[in-house]
Amino acid sequence: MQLTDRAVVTIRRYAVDPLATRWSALDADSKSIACAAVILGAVVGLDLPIPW
Amino acid sequence: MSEQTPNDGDTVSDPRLRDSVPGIAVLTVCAIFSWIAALIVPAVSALQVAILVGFLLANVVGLPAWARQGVGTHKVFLGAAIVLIGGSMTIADVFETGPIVLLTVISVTTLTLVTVEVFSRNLFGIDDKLASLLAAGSGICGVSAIVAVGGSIRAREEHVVYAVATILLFDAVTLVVYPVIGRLLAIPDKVFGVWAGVSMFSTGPVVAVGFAYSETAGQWATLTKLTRNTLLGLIAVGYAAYYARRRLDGTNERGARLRELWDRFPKFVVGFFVLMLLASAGILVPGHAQAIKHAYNWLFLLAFVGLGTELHLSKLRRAGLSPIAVVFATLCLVSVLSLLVLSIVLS
Repeated sequence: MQLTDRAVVTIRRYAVDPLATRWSALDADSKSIACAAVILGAVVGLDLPIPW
Repeated sequence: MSEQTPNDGDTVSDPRLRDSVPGIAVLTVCAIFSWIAALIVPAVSALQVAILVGFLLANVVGLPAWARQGVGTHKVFLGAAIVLIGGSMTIADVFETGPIVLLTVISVTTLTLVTVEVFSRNLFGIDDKLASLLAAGSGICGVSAIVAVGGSIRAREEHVVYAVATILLFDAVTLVVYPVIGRLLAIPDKVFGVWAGVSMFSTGPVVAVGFAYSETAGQWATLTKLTRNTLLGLIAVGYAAYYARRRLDGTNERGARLRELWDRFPKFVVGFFVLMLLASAGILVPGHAQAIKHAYNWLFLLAFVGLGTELHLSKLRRAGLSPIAVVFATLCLVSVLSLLVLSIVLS
């Protein structure tokens, strides 16, 4: 297995899948709050510009 | 507002999670279309176009099965947008008009509950529990309140369906009528926002109508509606106690009922107030506030396309004539009175 393939598998196993599992376990209100927190973090922490 | 998702170890490869992607893509495409349509025709709001697009998608084209799960996530986007609105308001704004709004919310909610109960039982001979469901739906927060109170009083399923259909019908009507009345009477933004928040039914349509009218109206509509939503627990517990006493069953179901109430309580309200506290503490600079405003406008577009898809003509036809008459009479009374009072107090 090539290095990039192993990296993808590792990221998926230890980051993406656990995150998806936690996300699926949340109810809609908690997902809303999490979604808002991510956007807020991106705006405040990274100065992410959001056009309209 | 709750969407139940079992904790059973979904992964990215799980079909339920993966199957949301096409529906979210549909919401995104429709949202971008609505945004472009509003740029081309500035007289219409992108939010109104989004609801219309969703409505046409569900009732004319037909929502494809592969998109249903993803489109159903629109409540998540609505909740996230409402949380972010908290970042555009400060405690100083609330204290300025807060006591008046709070007093109006309590007065109007009480008036609505009493009017629906009295009209239903004394004039239209509607079943007691159906009357209570209609009162909760009209007085507090639409479908969520009906489901919460329905659970707490052990209402029959068909009564819940009737009440939900009636409230959905009025959500659809008020979505169109309120902005028209607002423009015709040239109601100031703040008065319109509080009026919509205090007299319309479900949270989604209140926020949609408010922001379609103006940014200021949208913020006040949201704050007022969220204040009203916080009464859900109190009202549902009151109804549960009333019907339990009437049954004289003596069983102890309080724990289960409180759990059900908490499950149904729109918890994103907490996020809204936390973000308002952060904004009041000066954590957000003007550039951040602008980006957050744009973010919640995009989230609203996604949410309102989904909201439009929930306005099924077939569902609306299920509402009986008596429930419609009761809710219509109450809505007329409450909206006229509250508009008069708010016009005097807030103008």
